Amino acid sequence: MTTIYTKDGIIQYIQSDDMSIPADEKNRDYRKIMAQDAITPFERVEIVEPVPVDSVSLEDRIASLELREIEKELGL
Amino acid sequence: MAIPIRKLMSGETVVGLTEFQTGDKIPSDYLDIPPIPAGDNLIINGDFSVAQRGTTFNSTTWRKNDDDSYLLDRWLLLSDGNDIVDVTQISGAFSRSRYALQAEVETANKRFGFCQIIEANTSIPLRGQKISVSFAAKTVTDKLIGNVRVAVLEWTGTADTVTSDVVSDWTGNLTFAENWVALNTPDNLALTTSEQTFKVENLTVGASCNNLAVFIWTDDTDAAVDDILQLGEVQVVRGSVVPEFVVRDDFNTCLSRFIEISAGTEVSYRLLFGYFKSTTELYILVPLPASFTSTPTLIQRGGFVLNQGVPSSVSGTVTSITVSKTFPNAVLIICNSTGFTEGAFGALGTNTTVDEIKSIIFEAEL
Repeated sequence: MTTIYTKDGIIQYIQSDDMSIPADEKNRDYRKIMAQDAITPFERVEIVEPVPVDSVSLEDRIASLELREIEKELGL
Repeated sequence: MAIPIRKLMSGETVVGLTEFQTGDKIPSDYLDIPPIPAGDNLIINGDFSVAQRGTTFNSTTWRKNDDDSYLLDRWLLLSDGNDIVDVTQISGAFSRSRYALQAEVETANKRFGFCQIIEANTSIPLRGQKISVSFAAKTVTDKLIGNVRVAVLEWTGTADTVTSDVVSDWTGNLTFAENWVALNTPDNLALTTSEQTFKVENLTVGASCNNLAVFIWTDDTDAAVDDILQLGEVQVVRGSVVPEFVVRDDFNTCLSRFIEISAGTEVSYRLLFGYFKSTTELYILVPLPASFTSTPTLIQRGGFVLNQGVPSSVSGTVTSITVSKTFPNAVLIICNSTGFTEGAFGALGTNTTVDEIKSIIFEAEL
């Protein structure tokens, strides 16, 4: 199975069975896959960058909200 | 007044002399042709001794005997379909080398051959100069293959960006792919069960040549299953004649096109080390004994896992490994899995499947 991985539509690399093929015109495997792709296009998958995990924990957020509520009640 | 004689050399043999007179135009044959040291073979692994991918190739080996496949180092199998011949490294076939290549027919009545593409850095300086080729070949009693042919080809497309499958049509008179042109007219060379050395000499490299290739094939379409062709001692030399073949150790040269980092069949074995750039990516700078001139394909043989810390506190199955960058004598690879700590030390290790070769391969053939 061959999958072409892209970022913003630009090929980043190709996974073909146990081979990871770079998007390099000088690479013969890349040229061979691209020649086949021109006839029968392979599946393309857009690489999604992982969303950075918020460093503030849920407990800290709740505590912060509670503190704000108390401050409101006290008129601070 | 006579001007000192220039020598046209082939190996240590003077094959031509000329004495120039003032005002003479120097013939191109004699223009700046440097002496060729004995054994200066432009073919790499001409004796088929380097076999990093293995010594036997068939339809079930990890590198299959498919058309347009690199098998013994730097040598490309080209055939009219897949599984046309099994290919094996053999020994004792020829008198000037220890090893040779053997092709045993698996699919009858099909053409097949072996090709080596010579790098642009070697080919371009030969423009306008004479080159010659020789190789040893034979067949086996009761498994006879009648003839072989040899073509020296030149590529006029982009340097080192060749069509490796130099044959575009195997039917009738074989047709070479676009931008490949033969420097000679290939004829049938009759094989016997005894060693013969075949030569094609005094070919002129074209002015637009970017890569050369030598292609040795059997053009017969009557090969029976189990028929055998043995090839060895291939050389292409600068000059109008070929010297006697001399073995050269080309293992280190082959490393610039193929490197395997293997754990053998070891299980739970940490092979390469790096750090987690993110919770999903292990970055590893892999030192290599040679430099690749283009970004290599990474081939994963067997199963791998990522391990965080020593002893491993977290591990996960590798989902992909890619080459991110190529440096002199190193490549940066990124191994993907999930559930790790950013910045932590980590390793790429083998999984627990037994009796399975596990290795990481970098390959960047022409």
